[in-house]
Amino acid sequence: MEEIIFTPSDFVATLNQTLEYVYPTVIIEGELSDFRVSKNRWVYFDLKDELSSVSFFGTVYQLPGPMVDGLLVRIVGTPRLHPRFGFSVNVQSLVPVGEGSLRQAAELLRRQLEKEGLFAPERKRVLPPVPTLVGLITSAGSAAAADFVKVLGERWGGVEIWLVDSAVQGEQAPAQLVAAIEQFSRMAVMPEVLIITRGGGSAQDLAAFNDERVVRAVAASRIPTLVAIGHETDISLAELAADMRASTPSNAAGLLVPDKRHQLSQLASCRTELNKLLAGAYQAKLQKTERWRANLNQLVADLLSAEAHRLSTSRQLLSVLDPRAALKRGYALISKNGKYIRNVGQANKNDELNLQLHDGIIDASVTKISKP
Amino acid sequence: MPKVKASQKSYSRLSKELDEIMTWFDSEEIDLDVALSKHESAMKIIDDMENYLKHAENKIKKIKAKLRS
Repeated sequence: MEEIIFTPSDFVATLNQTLEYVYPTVIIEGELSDFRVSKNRWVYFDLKDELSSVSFFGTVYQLPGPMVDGLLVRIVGTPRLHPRFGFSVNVQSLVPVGEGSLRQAAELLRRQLEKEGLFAPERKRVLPPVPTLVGLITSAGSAAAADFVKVLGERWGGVEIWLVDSAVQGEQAPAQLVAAIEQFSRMAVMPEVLIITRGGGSAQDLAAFNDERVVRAVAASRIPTLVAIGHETDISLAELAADMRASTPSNAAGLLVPDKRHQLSQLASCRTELNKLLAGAYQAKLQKTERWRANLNQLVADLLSAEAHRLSTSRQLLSVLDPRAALKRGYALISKNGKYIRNVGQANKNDELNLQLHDGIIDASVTKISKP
Repeated sequence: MPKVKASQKSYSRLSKELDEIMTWFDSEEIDLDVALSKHESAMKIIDDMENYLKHAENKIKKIKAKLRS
């Protein structure tokens, strides 16, 4: 067998070609160790077990959140021999594995994002009361999608659902979820609300919803978000970042729209109420008209009474002023040649006078005139 | 089955108009002629809302995912 003598560069190139051919990608699970971040961009760490330790290299953008030594993680990566820095695996994706590590990683991220204010109540936007255009991000063929659509249809109609099919678990899920959220936010006509949902599953299945990229995308969405992950024990960070959370896809549909049966019942009550209001308005007007009629009648009666009183008073006054009343009391009207006389100077001796009494006339002759 | 036309007012708009009429009826001085007209309008709005609730259907449109490189 012919001896092959490599230069260091040839050896590196040949080994990398061999690695690329035999192990284009590798999946390695192990305990995170010596985790370092350089220039806020590059990450270096080792994965170790009882016997071995392997070096890894990647970028912060590939991390699902803050990392800490001791976490059990699964790496998908490409093994490479660097010409100067030796062997390492270039990271394509990194996810914590095992319930303990997932919880620990999620807790680390929760603390960091909480400090940044991503979950603050004042950030929460109000969802539209009755949306007509809804964006739905989920696995299109899943029971979660079917449940959401079914319950939505039972409760309300006239809603247009724009569905973007996305992986909701596994290595591709974070990138696809983020892309779908950003795709909706870039639309010229955006849905009024964005639903991101999936059914329940293990902590590993739901890990994408504790991924920093997904959580930040939910928080940054230009469209108000409703995140519903079908589990009850732990709330995912994506739900904490959402404007509203629901416990299940069906619950999301329930929170999103009112129940049409309830609305129909309310409309029936409204119809009854309106009829009562109109009848009430009619009755009020009728009563007002009746009051006006009574007031007018009273006014006319008062006017007639006042006039009658005035006439009666006038009649009494006139009766007092009537000269015949004085004649009855014994006075007489004296006239000479048809003209009444008022003083003795108007009469002369031997004048013929007429004395008018209340019951007749006496003709008399003046025999003497005297003054007091 | 009658379909809900796209040109019809949205349910929210109808609901708002109905609320306005109900509020008007709560005001102190009500003109009976206006009340009759408002009542007629409200009944029509309720008919439209009931029609919407009974016949409107949801539509699903699949949007092609755009994964950015």
